[in-house]
Amino acid sequence: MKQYPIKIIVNGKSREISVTADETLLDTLRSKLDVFEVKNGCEQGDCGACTVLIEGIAVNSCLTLAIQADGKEVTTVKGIGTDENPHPLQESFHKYGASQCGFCTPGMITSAKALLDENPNPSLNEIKNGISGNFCRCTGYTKIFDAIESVTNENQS
Amino acid sequence: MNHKEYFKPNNTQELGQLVKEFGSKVTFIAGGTDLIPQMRDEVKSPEVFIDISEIDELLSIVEEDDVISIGAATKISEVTSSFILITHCPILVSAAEQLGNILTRNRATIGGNIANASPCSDTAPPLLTLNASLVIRDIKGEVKTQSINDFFLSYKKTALQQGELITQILIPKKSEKQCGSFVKIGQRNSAAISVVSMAMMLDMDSGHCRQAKIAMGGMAPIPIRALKTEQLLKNNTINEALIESSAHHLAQEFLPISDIRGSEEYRRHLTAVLFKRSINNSLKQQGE
Repeated sequence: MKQYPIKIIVNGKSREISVTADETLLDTLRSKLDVFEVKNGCEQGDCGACTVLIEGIAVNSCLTLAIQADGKEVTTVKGIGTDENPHPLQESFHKYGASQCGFCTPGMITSAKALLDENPNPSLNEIKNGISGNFCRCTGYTKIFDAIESVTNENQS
Repeated sequence: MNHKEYFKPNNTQELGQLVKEFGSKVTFIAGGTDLIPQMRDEVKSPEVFIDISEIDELLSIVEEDDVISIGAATKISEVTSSFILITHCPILVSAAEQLGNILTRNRATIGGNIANASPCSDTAPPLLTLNASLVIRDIKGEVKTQSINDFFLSYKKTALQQGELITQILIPKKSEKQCGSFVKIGQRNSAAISVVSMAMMLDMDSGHCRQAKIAMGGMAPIPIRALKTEQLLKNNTINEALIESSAHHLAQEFLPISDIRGSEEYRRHLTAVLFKRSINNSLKQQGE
């Protein structure tokens, strides 16, 4: 079994591991690095539960080879904020009740973070487009839109 | 045993050496959004991956005198934000904006969307109506240019031989103003694979159609031009009666499959609906 040593910077921490050429980033994160906040939903890019940021860009980790992330910064929902110092999005999801079962929430917040980094003042339509890759089967999305909308620049100031 | 190998060349010289060394074992990967699900379904089992996602020569969008050149590894999200493409090929930008969802657009590439040759590829219909050409690099490193009209052969079969790679997509710059539109119907708004899609380019002169190009996804085993319906519009005055009869004709021009995403009958129905929507969008742009 041919193994490739790679280094991924996960939430600021450099992690060195060996991967096969065809291993997905999702598999590596969950099975080798214990990064369980990245969820395995559909494994074909439909649901967005496995969303991570690679160098700040939101992608499906199930559609990315681990080896393609070699040397790159990977950010998960835990890298966006912590229990002690949560990101405004994490607080607003809590405040607005924007998660029910919670399975989509890590991916949802990660996509929302990428959206706000690029466009701090998105319209409702831009918010919908920003999370168009993330399924939620519980909330009906309204509370998620409200949570994201509440942390746009306009509503913060 | 898993002896799969992976290489990431930094430039076309390194790429050429790898292709020479591994020949027909090579599978090119960039975004991986089509390839990885096929690997998981065991439809494809690559032995040697060559990752072309970081070769500068394949990543630029350049405006030349008479063509726009798009590097094959350009991400769909870069197509949607390119000022050159928004200016010169809005129909391609519109299709790119409707491809998959924001997460897949951040990985998927335009070259991959063409080479994968899905019958419902979203970038193929606009590129067919724009008369695009593909620059293809063969196993010996020689380069040829081929019209996209001759590229799709049959279901998921293309003119690409083993070890051949699309390196650029060339779009001729238009001399005069044309109007066009890309519309698609999927099962939902985001991440939807098209059931039927349609790209249309019209060259209009005060109500008179000088030239019409229509290409469809999801209606045949390959993305395809609707040459017969184009002839109905060409050199004719566009009026309600012609729109009605052409819509009916277009719905019958192909023999679509019935599959999980839609029946033959439903696809024909959508074709007529999309045709009317497209032609009205196009005429609106002209103020006609």
